[in-house]
Amino acid sequence: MTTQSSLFHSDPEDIFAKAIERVEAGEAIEAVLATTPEAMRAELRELLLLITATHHLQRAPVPQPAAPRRADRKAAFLEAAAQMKPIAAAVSTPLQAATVAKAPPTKSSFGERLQNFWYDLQLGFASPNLRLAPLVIIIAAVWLGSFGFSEVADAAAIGDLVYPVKQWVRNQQLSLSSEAARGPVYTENVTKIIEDLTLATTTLSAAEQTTKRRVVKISTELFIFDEMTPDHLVFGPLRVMLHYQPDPNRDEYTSIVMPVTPGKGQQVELTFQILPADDPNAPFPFIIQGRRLTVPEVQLAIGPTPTAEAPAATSTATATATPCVITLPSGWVPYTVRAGDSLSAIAQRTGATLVGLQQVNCLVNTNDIVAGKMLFAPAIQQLNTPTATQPPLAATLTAISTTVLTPSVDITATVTVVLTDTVTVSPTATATENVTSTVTATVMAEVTPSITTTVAVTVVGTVVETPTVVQTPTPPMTVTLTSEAGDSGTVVATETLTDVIDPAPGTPIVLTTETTLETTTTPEAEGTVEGASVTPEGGEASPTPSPTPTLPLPTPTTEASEPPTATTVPEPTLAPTTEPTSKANQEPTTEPPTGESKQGNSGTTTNVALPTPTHTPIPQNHSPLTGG
Amino acid sequence: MNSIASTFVTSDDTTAFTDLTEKALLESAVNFDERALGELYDRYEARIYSYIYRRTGNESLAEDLTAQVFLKMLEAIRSEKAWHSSFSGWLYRIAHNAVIDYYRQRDRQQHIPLEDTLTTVTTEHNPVVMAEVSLDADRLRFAIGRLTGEQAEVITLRFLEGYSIGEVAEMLDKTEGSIKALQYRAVTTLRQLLQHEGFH
Repeated sequence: MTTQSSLFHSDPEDIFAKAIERVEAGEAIEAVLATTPEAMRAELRELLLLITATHHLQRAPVPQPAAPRRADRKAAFLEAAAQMKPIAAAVSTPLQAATVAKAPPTKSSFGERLQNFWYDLQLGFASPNLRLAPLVIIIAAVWLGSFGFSEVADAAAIGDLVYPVKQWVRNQQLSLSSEAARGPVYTENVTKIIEDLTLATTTLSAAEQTTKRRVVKISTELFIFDEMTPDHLVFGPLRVMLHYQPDPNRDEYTSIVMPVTPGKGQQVELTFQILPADDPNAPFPFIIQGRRLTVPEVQLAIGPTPTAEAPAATSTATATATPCVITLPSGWVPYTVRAGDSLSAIAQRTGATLVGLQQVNCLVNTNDIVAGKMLFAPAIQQLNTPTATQPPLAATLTAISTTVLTPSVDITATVTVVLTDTVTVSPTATATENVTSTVTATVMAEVTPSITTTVAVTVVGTVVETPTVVQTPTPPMTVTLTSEAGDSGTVVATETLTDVIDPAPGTPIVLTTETTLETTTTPEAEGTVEGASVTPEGGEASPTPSPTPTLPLPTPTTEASEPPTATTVPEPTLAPTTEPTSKANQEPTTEPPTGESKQGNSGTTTNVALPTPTHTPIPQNHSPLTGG
Repeated sequence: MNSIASTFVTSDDTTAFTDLTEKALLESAVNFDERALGELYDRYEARIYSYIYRRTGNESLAEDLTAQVFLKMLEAIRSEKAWHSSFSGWLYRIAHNAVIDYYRQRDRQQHIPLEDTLTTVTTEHNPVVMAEVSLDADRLRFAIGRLTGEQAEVITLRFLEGYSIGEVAEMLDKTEGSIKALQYRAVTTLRQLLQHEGFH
């Protein structure tokens, strides 16, 4: 369309858009209006004028902040992200963890370490032991920046106008810290509060000297409650009286307002007052008077709080933090970090919480894991529960469970590990299909040569054939069982691993069991059922995508091919004996088999089994078929 | 100030991230990968700042609100797919809400933010226009603030920032047709608002 064309669109929106284009291209408004339908002209004129006016505003460029300021803002943002990260990972639903440590294959582990180091440095951490507190104060100061509050606030005393800002900064520190780091931050805060109290009491004393009257300072802070003695409330090094003097010049007391008695370890909000010290040089702890105590509903999760030292009368105290010692909860075993692991992925896989992993392993920085690092985590005993897809699709699900055994005591110890993996297959098979489930258990023992492993696989459920038990460690053992059409059952694979462990205590041993569950549909034999209509290709959603040759119509010919395992698949000629069994198990509600012929799907095993009609027992042949 | 961070903010390690598609970036960002977040910040900060500046006319306010927007983004990014299909549109929405909240907080006091550089509306370009229009930045912004989120975004991005229909469509993850419809509705509503306020 040319710009000069008459704007005979039916749509005012289009007309408007077109008109804007032309005006922006430089045409005069009146020229554009001339080609507009009469009906729209008045309105369009006003709209275009408005647009033009806004264009004038647009022409003023946006003043950009200076680069250092921008960089500071970005740093503050990344800092906030780093602080939110442990909280985020613990709170969110398990996501597929994209990992930081997943470096391109060419990078060496040294490169990885260097990378992590740079990022720690970026965030201001030189080592995991570096405290968060100073950095957060700086960041908070940056945010408050333009008002210059930060410097003023830091020097604020109780009762000053900006003292609440100082309190706010302190509380931000606490809430922005990770749960594990909050303990030391809280202790540090308490120390600072006590400093403020000390200063306040001194100031009040000086004021009393001058004015000959006693005045109090009142403040409110968040504390963690320890206990209540007959005389005091105890919050760490603080002692709070259970009453206060409304008038400090009179010896009359009002009880503290305390609707709820707090429990040990709870956070409380305490409003208190400080009196002039009787003796300004008296050593701490001095006593403050409690006015009001409430227990807020929202409680911050605060990790273990190290004991703060009471400050000396003149000097500032430093809180002593208990160094973190790795203590294993029961059931936790060594876990070697793999390339591509992240702490949240490990947490998800092992069933631990992210915070738990952090605390047990004394990790301050959740990035502080590299491939090869030894952490501790709960033993993994997970198995994906595969569900059979709607036939005729074939599903192959592999579950790998890894158990790490660490012999701790004797040199020769027999450890029996029983892993019971319940694999539930509930095929929604109709009467026209059979479902074959193949359970392959592979036990691979690593590390120690002197392990003898016996594997017994018991398959419980709607079993047609009894599996063969195979010795380990290799090769993989395949158990094939076939459910008859119409069955829905549970296949339970129980693996019993008995190990005799010989190595030195502490040597980790890895046992991996791999359970593969395959669900395949099997084609039917044709025309053996009464009352059945033979419909070719009935109900098939799509042709099988598998590369294996699809079976032609289901004459139960035996296609000989090697089973993928060294085990023997059970004898095929069990038909007569199994028929009654399967019939007995057959759901009474199955539809009469229609004898539809279906194309076989792949897995590595495809069995041809013939439909079980409701009545006529027909001698059939089971023949195992293995597709490529 | 945090000089350590500013030195390493442009570390070489971020180059790989500049090439990532936004989808890939977001996948890492939801897990608070610092590099991904940093890259997102780099990609969007200037635009969000510009947008907010257009809406408020105040530099330091725009800075503060921009920081707020990115913090809000951090809070909400945990719930994966908070942004549905368009991260950009979502971010602009947060920016819009931040501006609205700010103005709401000030409760329409007369404490109008300092006028920006546009103090003199030049009359040289179109005397006819200027005679009929008595519009200043404040009143325009105020009126924009009373549009719906989408309308305000489209008006600002189209006519204050100068993006094309196609560009705005992409940024807000809408069709061009929707943008056309929005701009039309927005401008007509704006006109009504300003008329009501004595525009003409």
